[in-house]
Amino acid sequence: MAKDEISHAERIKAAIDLKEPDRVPVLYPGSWAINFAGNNLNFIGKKEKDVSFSEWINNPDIFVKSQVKGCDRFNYDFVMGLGYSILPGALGCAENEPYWGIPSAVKTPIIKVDDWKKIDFPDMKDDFVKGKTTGKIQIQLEILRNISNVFEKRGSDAPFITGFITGPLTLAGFLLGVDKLMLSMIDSPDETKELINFCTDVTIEYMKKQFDAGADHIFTPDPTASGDLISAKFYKEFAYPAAQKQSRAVSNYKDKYAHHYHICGNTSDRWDLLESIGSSFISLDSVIDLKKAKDKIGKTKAIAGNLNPSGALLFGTETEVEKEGKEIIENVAPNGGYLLWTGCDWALDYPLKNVEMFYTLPKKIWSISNLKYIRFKVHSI
Amino acid sequence: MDNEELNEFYEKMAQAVVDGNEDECIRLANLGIEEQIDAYDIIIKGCAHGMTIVSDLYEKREMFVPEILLSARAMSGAVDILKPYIKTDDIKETGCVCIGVVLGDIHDIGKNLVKLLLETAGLRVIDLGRDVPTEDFIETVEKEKVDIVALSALMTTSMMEMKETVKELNEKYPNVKTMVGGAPVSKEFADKIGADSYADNASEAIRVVQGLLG
Repeated sequence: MAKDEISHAERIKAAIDLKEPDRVPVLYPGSWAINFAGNNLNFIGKKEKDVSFSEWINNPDIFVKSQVKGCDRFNYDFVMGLGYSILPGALGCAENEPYWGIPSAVKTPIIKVDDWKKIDFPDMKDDFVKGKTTGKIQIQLEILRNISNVFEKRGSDAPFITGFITGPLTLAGFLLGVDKLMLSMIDSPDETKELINFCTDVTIEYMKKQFDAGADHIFTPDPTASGDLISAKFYKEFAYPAAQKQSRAVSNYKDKYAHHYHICGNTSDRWDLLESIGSSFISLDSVIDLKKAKDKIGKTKAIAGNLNPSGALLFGTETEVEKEGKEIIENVAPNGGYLLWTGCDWALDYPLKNVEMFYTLPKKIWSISNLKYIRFKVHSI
Repeated sequence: MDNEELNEFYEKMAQAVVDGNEDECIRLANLGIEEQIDAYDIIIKGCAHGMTIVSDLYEKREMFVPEILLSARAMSGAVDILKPYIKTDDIKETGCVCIGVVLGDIHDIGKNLVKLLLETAGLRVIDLGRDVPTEDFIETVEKEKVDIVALSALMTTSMMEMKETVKELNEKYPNVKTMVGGAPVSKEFADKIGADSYADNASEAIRVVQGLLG
């Protein structure tokens, strides 16, 4: 593999500092990374797999190997330390773990909004014992520690090791049910804010544990605060204060490079709020015109996104992935402050050649300060 | 009530639904019964009309999900009172839609809104709930007289289940129409997986269903 000119960390920090790095930084492939587990690459698009989703997330050895394998193959700048929501289960949600899909919370632990007072703060002991521990929190902390150790032992250029917590409003939706949460914002706003605040505090404590275990960075998607679900007014009243509290806690505990906030839907009427949450960068949904977002808030906030996760990556050819990605990079990367990613989580069965193209993009296409584009040298991958 | 007063009554009911004013919906429903106004007309010309306005306001980004749920709750308050007074002859079902969130996905707000709007538009809706495997859709089509199967997914990680379901339905029941919707889904996606149609939001879903039913 050809060596990059600067380290992953330097590249990411440059983008967050609104500068132009040597190339566009690029994030991990979300849940698609499961295809690096065992022999799954040979089973893409097939019903049967070598390693199931459940095996992947519950076995630190398998999970860590898959993440390292992905990094080695595509040389992305961030590596994922478990990309789904652990906390709902830890707070009492009954979960279903499908063979090939993200676990889903099938039963909420509370019925009324103020029932949150009956929920125990989750056990966050970092005491993983191989073959015995089944607690998801302990498994995730073990994964983060092991990924960190792998890259430390190699003494090589380590990608940003990324932990995961949901946005507070989203966690509140898991606990109460999204329909009830939506109505409780109108019926019982004060109690709803208390629930959200409890969720914020839980996520903050868990975030600290993840940093202690070796994370460099935390990803907090907040899909229930989507611009397609709640108005800017409700976002400002319910989601924003909690997201801001969460983000401040992350930067206070770690540093200003440590927080990735993701929000779904059309958020163009609230970009000013997103800009001031305090995250290191914001990733936006593919429904957003990223160029417009950058024009509006890009002078103060780095932006990531937003290749359509159900577009060319899923059904298109490599050429179509290249075209779609190139257009975004050319529109948004000039003058820095940009990181390449999709507009939301990855489908599990994108064809390998399309994923390969996605990770070739930042190395093929480069923006220079005078806005003239050249085909940059292609790093072998 | 003369026609003008009746129209004013329906408008008031529609507005109470838009405002999410459950007390007013219940008061108007009771008043309607007292005044011997046809219960079915109150639902269709008042409640359902209100939900259509709500749906249009969502499309314009003037209302969002909390307000829509409030309107739905208010409407249900009225419908619960009116339902026992509906004459069987009044019910003119214009088609049957089987709806569900696909396997691996439990996010059902969008599906519930579409269901509500379809019902208020006079359609028969069979709701299979969430996390629904392909076999359940097939079994329902086998047993019931279904015109359209509507599939919902919120996550990119679950939307590929739609492909499986649509494929099986197209093979086994080519006369049954399929439509898909949900945050990660697009017209392009619908075309690629062989679905007959796609709706971007709940109010569009009603138009799509009406279009598919001809």
